[in-house]
Amino acid sequence: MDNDEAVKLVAEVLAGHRESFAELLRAYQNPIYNLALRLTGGSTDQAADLSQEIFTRAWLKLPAYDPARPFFTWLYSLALNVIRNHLARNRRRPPASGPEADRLADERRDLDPQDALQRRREQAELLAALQRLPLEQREVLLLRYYQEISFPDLAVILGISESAAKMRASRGLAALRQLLARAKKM
Amino acid sequence: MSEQQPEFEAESSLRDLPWASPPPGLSRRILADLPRYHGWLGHLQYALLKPRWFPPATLAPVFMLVALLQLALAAALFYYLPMANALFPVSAWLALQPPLLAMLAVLPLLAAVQVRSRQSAPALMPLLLYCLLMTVNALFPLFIEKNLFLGLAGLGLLPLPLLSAGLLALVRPLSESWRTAHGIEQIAICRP
Repeated sequence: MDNDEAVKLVAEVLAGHRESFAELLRAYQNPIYNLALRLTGGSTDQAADLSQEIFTRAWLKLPAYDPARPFFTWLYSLALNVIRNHLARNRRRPPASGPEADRLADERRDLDPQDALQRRREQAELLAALQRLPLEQREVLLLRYYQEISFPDLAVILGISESAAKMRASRGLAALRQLLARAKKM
Repeated sequence: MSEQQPEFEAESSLRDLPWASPPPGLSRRILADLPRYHGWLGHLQYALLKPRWFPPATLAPVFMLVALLQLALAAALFYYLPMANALFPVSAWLALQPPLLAMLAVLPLLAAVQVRSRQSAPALMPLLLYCLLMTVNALFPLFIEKNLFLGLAGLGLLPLPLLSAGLLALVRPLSESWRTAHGIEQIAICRP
């Protein structure tokens, strides 16, 4: 969904056409759900609950949305706040691991069993390594490389400069590389 | 080159991470609940009832408190009624209160144990029965015995069923329609 369409839908929702929110939800549900799933490293139920909270908060805060700003950056900023709050509240709870993390890894059927197993193992390692990164690096890596958001948009979402976003991404990649290398040695 | 290779791998592995599909019915569940959150009242409701962070288990102490208050009241009445009886004739309603309150206290106590151990919403019927019987009991002297003094004493019992009914109204829509109706019986926050 392009930004003009999203802004138009927001205007419709604010004018009282609540059903337009369903279209916004349809368009952004998948990326927001996946962002919550990967950032928390938690269960699918947890990601669903977080998605619900994010969209409920978006619904409540829609009157405060500034149409001059791309809608998706606004929604992502809000989503990150909800997820950060959730993680802060549940700091002591370990992220999903073992079978749950494996389940979240890819289940491609076109690979032969050996390759599929190897791929799943690598993805499980990657997911585990991601959870060991500091949150700000995890955020930037997932937004940039998993969700393929450009650095200028990333800077707006995170409220930092573009160069700071690039720096954070490069540090995050270096840390992730180290963690993966360490995991391979073990 | 060998320096660059692992970085490329990390980056491309992130791009290759699969996208999971949201559970079926998630958007329906979100849309169904949005009308609850509208205007300033919606903001207030959202602030008070943030659904996910309000597992029924957190209500256990409140149900427990209701039960304990009621048991304490029953014990106090059991102790003091014979003394009062020596001074003035005690009405049948008042004489019945100690055993009745003690018996009815079992229902919120059960609710407390239930929400604490099973992490689920309390059973509706026993608590509804509790609220109904306690309300009838509280209003009985005022409307049936038509005794103002006892009526006021009876009204003093009303906060207990009202509190329980309020809790029930609060916890059931959240845990039942938000979770059980979607096949989620456990509360995510309580999972290992």
